[in-house]
Amino acid sequence: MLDIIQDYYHLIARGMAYTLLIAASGFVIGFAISMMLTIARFLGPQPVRVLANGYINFFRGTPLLVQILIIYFGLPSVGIKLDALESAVLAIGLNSGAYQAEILRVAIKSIPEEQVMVARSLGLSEVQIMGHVILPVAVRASLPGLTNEAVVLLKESSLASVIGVMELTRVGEYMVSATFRALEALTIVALAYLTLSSLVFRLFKSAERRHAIPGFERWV
Amino acid sequence: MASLSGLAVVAIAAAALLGGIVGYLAAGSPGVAGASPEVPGQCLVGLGLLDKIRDRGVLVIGTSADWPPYEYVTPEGEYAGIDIRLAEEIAKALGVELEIRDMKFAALFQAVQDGRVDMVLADVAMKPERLEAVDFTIPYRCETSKAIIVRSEDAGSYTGYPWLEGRKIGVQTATVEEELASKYFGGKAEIIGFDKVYPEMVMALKTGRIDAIIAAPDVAKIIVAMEDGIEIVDSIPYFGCSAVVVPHCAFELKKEVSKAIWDLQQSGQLDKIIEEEMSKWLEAQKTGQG
Repeated sequence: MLDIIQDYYHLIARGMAYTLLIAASGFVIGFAISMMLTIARFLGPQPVRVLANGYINFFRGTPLLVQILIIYFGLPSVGIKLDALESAVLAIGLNSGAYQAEILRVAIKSIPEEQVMVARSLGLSEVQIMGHVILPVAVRASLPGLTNEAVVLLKESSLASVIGVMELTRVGEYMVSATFRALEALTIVALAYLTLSSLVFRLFKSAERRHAIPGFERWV
Repeated sequence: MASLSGLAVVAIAAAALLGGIVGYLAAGSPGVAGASPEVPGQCLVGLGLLDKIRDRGVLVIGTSADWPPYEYVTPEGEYAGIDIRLAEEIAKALGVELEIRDMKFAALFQAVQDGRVDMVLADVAMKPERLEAVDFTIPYRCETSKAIIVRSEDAGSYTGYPWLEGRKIGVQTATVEEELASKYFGGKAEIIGFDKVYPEMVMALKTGRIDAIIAAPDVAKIIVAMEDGIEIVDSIPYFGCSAVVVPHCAFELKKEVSKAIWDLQQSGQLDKIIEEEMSKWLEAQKTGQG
């Protein structure tokens, strides 16, 4: 196994870098989208809410692989031509936005209704309540859920290999086919993924600790 | 109120990011639909493709680099194999640089139809139904049989096709091998489809989940050399060829690539390439499988 690592270490490193890049950019785009979706579905007028919910259901209800293929092969027919990496990042970002919006919704639902009522009685507008009362708590409360989502993205980024992004899983396939030592090569890939996800776990754990809601630190 | 400013930062970042994406998309490449209206839709990519390739000075080929000895990736991260060598020769004949894009086999046909790659070299079998979607050059490699691989301990008792009746045969799904298996053994043996010959199917054979594999002879030879405990015992007659995939209506490109292949065949260089690549693989097995 060590000799495969020795031979292929720079390919493995490259694969890890691409996997991390896809997952991280997908997560950031997804977070931005989830914020907009959340604001749209809680504060927007009826049609906007319907649209936001439709978006979420579409992206949760269809396979990510299909979404990637539609963006890579379908968008050029309307004049938008993205390369493989851009398509993968965009698809994963759009997809993750829907999931992150749902994670955020769960967190929002866990906020006691009294807090909103108190805020209203203090004369805060709905927008102010969203910005000052709900989201600061909800985003923190959704960190454990977002950890899950980030790790899922790390693994699902392997779907980008279908359209030709040389990420970790594809590098694994190269190693398997070129060395004919499947078990060893796949073990290396698994360990590489584990390294990356440990990184994500640590990152989110420390974020959870640093941004703990004052008075609730002991729960972290 | 510290949380508020944090939130504002997040919101602004989000807006900026999304604006960036939208702006980027809007500024994307001009629409394919902008071409002259009298050209039939399926010709949009192919028509005049050779001129476009010469103008840009780069030939973009698509391949699926997990199929040695045809195409694979070396530890140095470079593409190698019979198809890659052939692609280099073709690019040389066209007088342009070569760029290789790797993707999964299933995505290649769509990629060549969309013009994401100019052509595909991936040991693609010529099949009439594929002509609906793409076009082929003249073939560059033909085979006259498919190999049957069994476990070494079964090799002694193997008596011919009847031996396979009532047993389990592995084939790669959506391949010629699958069609042949159902033609010869349909209803008599259990035919099991796999995504790949290696590792899935070979592992299944070695662990007894299947009793035989039908595979292309080149690939079979290499697998048997690389893996202990399996042997080629028989073959199924079959004639089929691999060719370069080009889009519809790429008449000039098809002609020039076919000519390059023809020249390589006539000069014996193609045989030399195939010979070299095959023995490179078998040699690597003998010297250094550690």
